[in-house]
Amino acid sequence: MAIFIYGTANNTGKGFFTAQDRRDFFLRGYTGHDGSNYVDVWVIGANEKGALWLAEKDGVEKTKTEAQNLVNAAITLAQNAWDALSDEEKAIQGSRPTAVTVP
Amino acid sequence: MTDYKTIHGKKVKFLSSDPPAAVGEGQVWYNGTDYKTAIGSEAWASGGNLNEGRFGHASAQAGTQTAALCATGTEGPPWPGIVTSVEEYDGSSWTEQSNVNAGRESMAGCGTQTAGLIFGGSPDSDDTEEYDGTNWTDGGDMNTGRYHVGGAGTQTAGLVFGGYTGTAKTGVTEEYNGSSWANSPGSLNTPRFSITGCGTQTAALGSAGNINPPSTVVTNTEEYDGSSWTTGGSMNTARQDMGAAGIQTNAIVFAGRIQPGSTLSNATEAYDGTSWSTKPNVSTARSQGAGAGTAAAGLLFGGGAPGPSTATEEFTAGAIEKTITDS
Repeated sequence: MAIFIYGTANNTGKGFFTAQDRRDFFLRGYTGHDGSNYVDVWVIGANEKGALWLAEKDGVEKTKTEAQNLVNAAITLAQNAWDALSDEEKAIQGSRPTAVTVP
Repeated sequence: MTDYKTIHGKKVKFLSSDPPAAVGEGQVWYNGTDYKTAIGSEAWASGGNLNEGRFGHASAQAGTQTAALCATGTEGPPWPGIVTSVEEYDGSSWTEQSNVNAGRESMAGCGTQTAGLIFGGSPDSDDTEEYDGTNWTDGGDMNTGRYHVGGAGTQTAGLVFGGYTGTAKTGVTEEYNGSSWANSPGSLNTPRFSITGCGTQTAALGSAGNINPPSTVVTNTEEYDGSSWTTGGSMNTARQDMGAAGIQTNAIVFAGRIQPGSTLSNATEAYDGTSWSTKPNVSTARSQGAGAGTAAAGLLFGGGAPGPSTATEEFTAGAIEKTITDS
C-alpha cells in the first residue's frame, strides 16, 4: 500500500486545512509550476481521512512522478531567478536553489 | 485486574458537563456517558490568503494572530519586483490598506497593526516608516543602512540588529524612540544577516542567520537586555530568513532556508529562554515569510516557496478533549 497520495489543490485560505487535519494525516505542501502558473502540490498521508480531504478540496490526484515534475518546474524557475541576481544579492541569498525531492 | 483507583489512588471524578479543554488538560473524568480526558495539542492550520503574494516583507512583529500587518516586500523576478501594498489580517482574511511611501524588501518590522514600524531593507536601506492603522509617515533614518535585518519592539521603542550593509555583514544594534535611532553600545557577538528577531527593545531574541562569507547558516541565538547581547541556546536546525512569534523567553521560529542549496525549511522550533525544542512543521516550507503573534498563537504569512506565496498558516497550542475508548 502506498504511503502517500499526491495531488494538486488550490489553497483557498482559511479552513483549507485545519489543525485537526494535520493531526489526522500527514500533509506537506510544495509550490509547483504547470508551465503557466504556480500550483499548490500536496503530499498527503494515504489514509481514509487524507484521501477524503483531497477529494473535498476538489483536488486532482497525481502520480508521484507528476507531482515531482511540477515541483521541479518551480525549482527551475527559482534557479533562473537566482541566476538573474546581482553578485552582491547572490552572496546574500546563499547558494543556488537545489532540487527538492517529494517524499 | 488493575483499575484506575489502584494506579492513581482515587476514583475517576464524575462531572455533569465537560470542562473547557484547557481546564481538563491532563485530567480524566466521567460525564455520565463517556470517560473523557484532554491532552495538549499543537498544530499549524491554514489561514486566509494574502491578496498579493510576496516575500521579504515586514510584519508588525507585536501584532497578533487576529490583528496582523503585512507591508511591502517583493514578488520578483524580475528583480527587484517591489510591491508597495499593505494588508491587514483579522484572523480570517487580509484586507488591503494604504501603500507604504517607499517600497522595499528584506527589511524588518515591529509594533502592532495600529502602531507599526518598518525599517531597513533594499533599496532604501536606512529608511523608516511609521503606520497608525491608516497612513504611513516617514520616521527617522537608521544610522547604519542595511537589509536582511532583525527587528523587535514597538513603534516607540524599536530595535534593529544585524543585517548586510551592501558590503559586509554587521552586528550593529540601534534603538528607536519614536522619532530617531541611536546606536546601542551592544553589538551582536556573531555579526550576521537574515537573522530573525522578536521580543522587546529591552528583552529581544535574535535567532540563526547567515555569516557569509562563506555562505553558512548558524544555530546561534543571542539575547538582548537593552544594552548588550549574550549567548542563548543553540537551535536544532541552522537556518536563515525564518519567521518568528512571541517573546524572548517564550518564542517560536519557523520555516526559512538551509544552506548550502537554499533548501526551504518547514521546521518549527520553540525557545523557553534556555533551550530550543522541536514543534510541528508548517505545511508549506518557505523563506522570508513573516511572523506575528505569540508562541501559543502564531502566524506565518507569505514567503518565497519558492515563488511569491500568498499562503498564511496559523499555529495554535492548546488542549483538545478526547473520549477514552477501549478500542
